[in-house]
Amino acid sequence: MTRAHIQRLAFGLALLTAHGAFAATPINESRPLDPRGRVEIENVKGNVDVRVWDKPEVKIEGSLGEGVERLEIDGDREHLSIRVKYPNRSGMGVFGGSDKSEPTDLRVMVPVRADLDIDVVSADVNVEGVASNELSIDTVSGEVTVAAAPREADFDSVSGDLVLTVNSSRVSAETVSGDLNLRGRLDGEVRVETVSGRIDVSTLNTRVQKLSGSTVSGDIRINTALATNGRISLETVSGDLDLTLPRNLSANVRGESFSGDLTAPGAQINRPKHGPGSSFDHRYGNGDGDVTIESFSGDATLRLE
Amino acid sequence: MNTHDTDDTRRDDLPDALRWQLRAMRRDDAPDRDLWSGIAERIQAQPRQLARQRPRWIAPVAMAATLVLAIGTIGLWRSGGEGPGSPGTQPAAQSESLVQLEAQGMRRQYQAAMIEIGPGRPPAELQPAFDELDRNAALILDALAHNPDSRLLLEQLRRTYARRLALAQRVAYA
Repeated sequence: MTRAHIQRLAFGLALLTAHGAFAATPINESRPLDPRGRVEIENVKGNVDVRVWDKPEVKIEGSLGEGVERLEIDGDREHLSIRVKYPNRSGMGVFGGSDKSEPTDLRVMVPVRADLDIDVVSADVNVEGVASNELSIDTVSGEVTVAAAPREADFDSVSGDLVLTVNSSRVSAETVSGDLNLRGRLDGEVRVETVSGRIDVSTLNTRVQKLSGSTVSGDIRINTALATNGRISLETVSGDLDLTLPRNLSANVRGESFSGDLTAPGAQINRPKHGPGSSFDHRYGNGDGDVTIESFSGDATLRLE
Repeated sequence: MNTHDTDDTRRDDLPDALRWQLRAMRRDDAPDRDLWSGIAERIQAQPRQLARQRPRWIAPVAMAATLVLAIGTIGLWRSGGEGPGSPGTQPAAQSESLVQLEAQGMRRQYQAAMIEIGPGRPPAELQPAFDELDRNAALILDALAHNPDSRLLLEQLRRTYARRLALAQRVAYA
């Protein structure tokens, strides 16, 4: 490599470094917030990382992507709104090709009991430690990873995966094609729903009161325990369904499928002499709870372990 | 799941009575295609200022979504909570056709709403999600052709259509 080549390369690298330095604007903001206040965060693309502390304060750090209009922080001690604002566009807005702005990364510290409402498009979301009354996350294609203990949690995604470890008394999570993975101490109501995404739910040393799961073509896999008089309802069109419950299950379990295979320990699978379809209705233990598993063409399996 | 039945005798009689009542309700609740044209004309006749403020398809989409929900609810009521696994024990051809009719009505309302939205293509990053929803809706319709008496499939179709309309709405609001 000649001296001229090296000089040109060094100059190019210097230009790239300079561009990088100006591309993103550092963020360093703080606002007071009541310990049980509410924080709303909106960011189209990039990252949203939320952590908690014991201070009655919200701290926002990170970098504002090039082309973003501004970071807008509104509200008061009870209700704070953090929005990444984009220049006015026409057409399909953040979804359209007109959006040339760079990703924005937000790192937000919030009071541990503060309610949280996050709305993103393609930004990845990572939340840890929140123990609020309410946690709500809405994404289109961003990945969502949560390890928290909100009393109630609500997650909605189109194609982004949801990886959730939560201790909650009420959880609702749905996607179109994103996979849904839910773990944690879940002792109340759980609702999980996808179109084609895979559902995987596993509770840890808790018994659910009510669990409903639904997919069109995604597989469903549930490993849980049922509270006394609890209810589980799972249904899919073409996905496979796999439900694992403890051996000491006390519930009436019904299974139905049009063309899928049904499997349940000790249950007699009924098939009509003429025509398709199979079903079973079996009581386990005292039959306190109620469990139904339904499919059109997917296989449905009950396991007792 | 049929909570309207209190004994075996009523279980035999009630569905027919309900069916006729609901058939009458359906005429009231589900507008036909001509009504849609009227709605579209009225929307287009609104002042231009209003049209600029709100995308013209929002109202029909909201209305169609409501209709899809209403039809789905009526369909579920009419099907009496009959599950998919009881095909061998549900021989009534009339009952099967009712569920199918509801599915067809739901599909028509959904298609009308999508026509109102217009021929525009969704953004590239959301195209896979729209394709996935369409693929799964087709899968459900195909399943309904094989098992036309399935409450499960009717409810799944309602959810899938509602989800697709909601996604289209989200794109427009963005």
